Amino acid sequence: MDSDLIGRAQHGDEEAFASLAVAVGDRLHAVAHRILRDTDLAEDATQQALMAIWRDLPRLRDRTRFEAWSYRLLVRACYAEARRSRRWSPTIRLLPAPEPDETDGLSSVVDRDQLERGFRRLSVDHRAVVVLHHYLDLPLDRVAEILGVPVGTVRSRLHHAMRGLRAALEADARPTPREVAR
Amino acid sequence: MSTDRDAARIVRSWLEEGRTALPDRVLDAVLDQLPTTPQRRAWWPAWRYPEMTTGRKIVSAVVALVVVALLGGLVLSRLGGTGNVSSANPTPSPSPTASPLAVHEGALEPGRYFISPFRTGSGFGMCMNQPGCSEAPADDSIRFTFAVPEGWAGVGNDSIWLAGPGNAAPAGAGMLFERGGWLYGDPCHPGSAPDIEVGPTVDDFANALANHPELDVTDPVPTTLAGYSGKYVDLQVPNDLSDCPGNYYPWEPGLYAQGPGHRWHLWILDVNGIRVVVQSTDYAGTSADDQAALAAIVNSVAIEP
Repeated sequence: MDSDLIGRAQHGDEEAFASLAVAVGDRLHAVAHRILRDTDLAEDATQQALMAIWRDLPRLRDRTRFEAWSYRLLVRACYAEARRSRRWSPTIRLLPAPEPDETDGLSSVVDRDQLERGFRRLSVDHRAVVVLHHYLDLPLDRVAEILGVPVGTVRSRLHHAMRGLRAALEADARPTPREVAR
Repeated sequence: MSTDRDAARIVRSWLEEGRTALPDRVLDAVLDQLPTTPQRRAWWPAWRYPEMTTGRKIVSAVVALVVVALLGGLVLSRLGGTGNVSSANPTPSPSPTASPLAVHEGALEPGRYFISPFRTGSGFGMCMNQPGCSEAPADDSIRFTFAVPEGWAGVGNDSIWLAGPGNAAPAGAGMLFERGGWLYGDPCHPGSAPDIEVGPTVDDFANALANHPELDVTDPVPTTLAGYSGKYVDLQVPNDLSDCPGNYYPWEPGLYAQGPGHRWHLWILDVNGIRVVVQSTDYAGTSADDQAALAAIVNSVAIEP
């Protein structure tokens, strides 16, 4: 991230912050979307996170930590949105998915549905760990730093979450119609 | 699915799907709110004394130290005795009998609290944005403990201020801990990075402040706080900041003025080779009781390296 841009935004330069928001907005939104699994909530969380970044930017002392710091604010915003609304649990809007690509191991719509249901059963704490580690590809110590919890806690949450997702997939391990047709 | 690795691969693949772009209307909504959403100015300001001679500066600093010590003792005695600190040159603080509590956001019950401002991940690393310098683990373990009287509040978990006025003009007060850093040549128009290089020692920082032509800083005088020696200076933010389009920002990482006439009191200490700065701030309009409370808090500081 452009340190000069962060510096100018820290000093109240709105144009610099606008450039910063454009640069990080998509990434933040993508993470929020994957944690919350709901379009409206993800947009609200991203908006809240960007406003929090603007408000608290002067207090960020180490600009090299901007990215991790922004993810921390985003995850907090996701917690807040999840608490504020129960919509995401029973009446969730499923994310639009592209046509299945069988080369990626995600072989069917059934898998996606099972993953979606399994993921929705996880707490936001567990979702955040899965998304930060498996989507952003962050190592566990960075995830721990972002979430403000010990690495052991992250490892435990990840283990629990992946066990749940694996169970969700295996619960529907019976052959799909496509597989039967082969 | 046969292995955990398979599950991880499938989950990763699944997470790659779905939208990523932030809708323009969300971004527009954020940008529309900026003009009416003030940034949280870390409550750290800068003050200048009006044109003082060197002699007056030295006298002022010495008087400030004596006042801090005397008033600190008075206030602490009201707290029920959390330590005998009414000395201008305090010895290492006695170990508190009760475990101090971590400072937290919001009102603080009277008692003893601690702050670990330099821990990794706190965002308070030293010398960010300064060439050749990055956050180092050597200072992570440094912990400051201090006695907090009634009427004070935590700011996040890294500083404290008066519960009512905070650190704002004309009557606020507060305290925080930092490491010092490079200076801005023009504090009134800070660029994106400080441009005056400052070395790592106590004297490097104290002298750089004192020699800065744009800063109103008293001459450094020897001091001791919590058993650690160093230099003490006062810095005052100008009473008129109308020509400063943004924040008045003397150094980085550091505070910036919360209002005109903000006064900074700096104990620049050598803690086993690591420079730390204990910074208290107030205004000429801060009440005598609050100034005394602030002085007592500073005098109660103990440092665990």
